[in-house]
Amino acid sequence: MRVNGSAGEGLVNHFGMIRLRLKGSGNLQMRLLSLDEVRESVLVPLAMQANTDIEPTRLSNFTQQRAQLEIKTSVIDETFQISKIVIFSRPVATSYPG
Amino acid sequence: MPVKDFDALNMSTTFSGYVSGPGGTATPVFTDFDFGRWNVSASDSQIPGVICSSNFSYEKTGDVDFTNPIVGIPANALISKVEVRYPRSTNIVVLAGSGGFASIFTIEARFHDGSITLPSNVAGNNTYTFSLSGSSADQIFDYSSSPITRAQLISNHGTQILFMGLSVSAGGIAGINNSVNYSLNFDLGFRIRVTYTDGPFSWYIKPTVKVINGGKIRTIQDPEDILAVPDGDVVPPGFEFYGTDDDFPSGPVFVWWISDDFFQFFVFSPISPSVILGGSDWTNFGASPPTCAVCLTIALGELTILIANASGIYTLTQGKTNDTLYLRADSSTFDFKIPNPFGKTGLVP
Repeated sequence: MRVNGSAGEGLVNHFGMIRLRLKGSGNLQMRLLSLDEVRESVLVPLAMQANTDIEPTRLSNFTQQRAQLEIKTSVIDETFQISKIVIFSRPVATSYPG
Repeated sequence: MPVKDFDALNMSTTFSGYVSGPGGTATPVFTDFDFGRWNVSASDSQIPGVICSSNFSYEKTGDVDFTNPIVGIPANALISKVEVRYPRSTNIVVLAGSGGFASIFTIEARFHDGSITLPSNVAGNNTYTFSLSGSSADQIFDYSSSPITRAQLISNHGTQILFMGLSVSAGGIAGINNSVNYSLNFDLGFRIRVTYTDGPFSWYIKPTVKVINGGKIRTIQDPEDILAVPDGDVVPPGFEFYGTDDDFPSGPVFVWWISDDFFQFFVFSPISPSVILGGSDWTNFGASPPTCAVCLTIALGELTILIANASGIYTLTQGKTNDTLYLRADSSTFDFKIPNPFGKTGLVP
């Protein structure tokens, strides 16, 4: 018998920070998107470098049940190379009102 | 109903011929130059067997094929007026024989309805140049009361004889080695006023014309002398071309556009033309050209079309960080950005 969802499914989460292993050139544009992209939170862009010893962190303030991170560049000859993405979140409510 | 004038003015063509004697027959050479829109075909009606020992004459006629110029007129258009512009300037060069005798020529140049006799006594190796100007030779076919279709236009005017006759008579002394060389240069043109309902309508504009629709004015200068003005949703209804005395200009092309609506045009030339936009305030739109109490021209800026008629194909190149368009004409390239490359994570948690 299948368990009705995973342990944390349906909880309302607060997404408070993004951390990347990031190299490239230009500025990396980032957005946090809700389910079906109904809501979004535009993060402050990260300036990229070809070589870096820092895994940059960007704070966010986005409360949704689930979220996804979109990354992009918007200027010619900008490039990015990402090998790790960490999205920090913690539950803040068990569910929306029924 | 929208009205447009289909203009193809300032067409130029050259005819040349040669007659020699004595006692021989003349076989004038009839040369026509197709400028892309005019198709002037030779239809010799000269009197064969010109004998130079007596008076002689011949005529040349040129038929105008309207098929090419009216390609841009839609089949459902109704044509209300056809104006045929006859030669505005003609140069006739006469070279008398070099026999040393009294070679007297009387040259008569006939241009359709007009008949002009040039001064006689062009003797020896003299050269005489003659010019004709004026608007009296225009011929207007007014179909405003019963507009015709494009097919009827071809039927009615497909063999429209634009001009011309050149008769030459010699004083006639047998045995004299006379010759006549002549060349004619014509500026031709026509205008067709069209009412239409819908559908694309495009044509090439060569002379100075004015487009009037009320409101503001935009000036477009095409250094390549070719503009294609689209129709349909782009061109607001009711605009009209006005021809003025500048129907036969020699300078660059100016299109005066008076409209509050956005003006869109396409340049099909594979070069990189610049389009200069300007604006003026006009008050009297009924006049041609329109007048204004204080004509203030405001330059709106210059739009440079970087690349036209471009093509592209993807080639995988290591380290390449942009897209590239290739110009067909000379294989030059133009780099531009890849449209916002992006990635998304999955939904978490």
